[in-house]
Amino acid sequence: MKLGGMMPARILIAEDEEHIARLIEFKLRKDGWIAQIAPDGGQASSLLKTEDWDLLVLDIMMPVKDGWQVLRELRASAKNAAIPVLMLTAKGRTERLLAQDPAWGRFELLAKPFDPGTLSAHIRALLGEGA
Amino acid sequence: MRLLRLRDRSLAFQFGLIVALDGLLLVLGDALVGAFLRSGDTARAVLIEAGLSFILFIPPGYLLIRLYRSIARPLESLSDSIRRYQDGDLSARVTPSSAATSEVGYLERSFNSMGERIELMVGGLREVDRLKTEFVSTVSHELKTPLTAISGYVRLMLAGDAGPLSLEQKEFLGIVDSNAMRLTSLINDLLDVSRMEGARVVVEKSPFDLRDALEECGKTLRVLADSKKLEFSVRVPEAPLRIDGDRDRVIQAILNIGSNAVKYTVRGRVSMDAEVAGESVVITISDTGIGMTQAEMSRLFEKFYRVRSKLSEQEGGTGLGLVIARGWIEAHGGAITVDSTLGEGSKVRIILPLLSKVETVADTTGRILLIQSDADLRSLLARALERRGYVVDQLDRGATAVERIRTGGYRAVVIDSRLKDLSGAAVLELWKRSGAKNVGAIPALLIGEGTQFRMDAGLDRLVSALIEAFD
Repeated sequence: MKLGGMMPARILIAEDEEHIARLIEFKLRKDGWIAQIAPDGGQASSLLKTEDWDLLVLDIMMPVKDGWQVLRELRASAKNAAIPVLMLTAKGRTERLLAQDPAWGRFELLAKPFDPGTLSAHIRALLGEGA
Repeated sequence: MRLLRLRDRSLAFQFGLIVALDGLLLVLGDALVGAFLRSGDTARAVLIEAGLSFILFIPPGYLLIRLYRSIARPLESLSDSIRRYQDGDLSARVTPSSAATSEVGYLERSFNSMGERIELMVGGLREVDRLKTEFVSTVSHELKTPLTAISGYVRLMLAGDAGPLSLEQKEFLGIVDSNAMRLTSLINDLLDVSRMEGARVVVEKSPFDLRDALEECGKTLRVLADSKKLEFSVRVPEAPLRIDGDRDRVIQAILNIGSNAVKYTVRGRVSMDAEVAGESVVITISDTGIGMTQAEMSRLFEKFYRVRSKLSEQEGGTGLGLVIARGWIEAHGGAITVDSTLGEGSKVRIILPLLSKVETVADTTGRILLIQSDADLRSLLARALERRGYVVDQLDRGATAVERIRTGGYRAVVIDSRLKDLSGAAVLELWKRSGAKNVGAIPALLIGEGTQFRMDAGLDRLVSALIEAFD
């Protein structure tokens, strides 16, 4: 949990593509957040269980567990039911339909390819850190 | 039961009873399978007429009974099966009658083996369709992953996140960036087009007001028009324009056409007007652009076709925009027409059917929402329910279901427990938590995980059970 808005937010990046994961990690650290990469859905799930995070950047197509599975588990758990999630998708419009479900809570979908600046803006909005 | 074989094909009606020569002739294919004749004279006449060498005489009473048992009865059951088949029940087969060696027996066996073959073929086509969808989605992912890295790092550098850039470095990275963008939109267009080929285009429908969609398109188009110093206007009627369709797809189609209008206009104006015409809405997008010749117009909806001009070279584009627009509009039961004069401008009309008031009222009585991810099972269940007089709305996933259950005015909801995105139970839970007024007021049936049924016998039982639960 965030401590009084003084500490930078901790963001977990669940992304199996190394270059994209590094791109996100670089941008988030540059913008002052704490960022860590989970290279597949399984590792993302266990890191979510064992550590505290303020936001999850979640890719859909990942080995071990896909993004939707990670998200479902997340919303079912007491610990992370309310954590904001920014989901990344390369599949475009079909996923947009899924994203409309209010059940996902604080959740947004960002289509690949994305602008790193736009990614940051989405994260700021999800974290409620003023524009 | 073959008595005679006709040599004269003039008598060879495909099938049926012929009243002729004071008697009855029963003809099947090119064979005379039975004759009921009044006298020896008539028989002789048939003999001559048909060029036959002999006639076998059988007592009339015996003949009629045999005719009934061996032909009329089996034919009745055969035509029953054909009717079921025509109604879409591909599993319809006929139980072979005892007359296995007769023409009727042959027909029965042909019908059954045709049924088997068609079922196999349809199954094969579905499989091809499924593989194609999978391929398209894999290709999409595989192409976009490297593009994400390319454009992502380029944008990082352009934003100065990796240190200061010289003017030239900035310019060159800008070129890389705009080409990466072009490649992205090309991939998106290609994916859309490949979805439109082969199988029927399916759009996920829900009612929306077209006026909002037009305003949204107008905002985007106005930016484009402003950048070229063109006048731009949008006019919509005061009353809502209710459409049952996929909002995103309709917007995509309108934007594709609207951005074309801006693209091919150097000076003057682009306008977008919507008006009701009978049961439809007509959106007219007019421009004062370069226009087209008759020949160019006729090729307008060809894939990759682009009107040749300096403008099209400057503006870029894939030549897929209109193909995609037409695909989506037609998938909504609409149409696109084009009117253009070279040098004066073009007028594109998009016609979309409106959701009529009558329809919405009538629908709320026996309407069922069916949510099932397995396409085969979904269409089977839907057909079975429709045959019992229900109107069935279908969804293939749970995500958009809650809103539909809340507002759709359904008689009942049938939902599979394992959908491809959510569990059926989760959808029902969401509906309950949404605080909708109809919670508890309409039955919602969850088809359990263990509900394994074959597509033939078990289906009807399941449907009966469902309907019992509705009442």
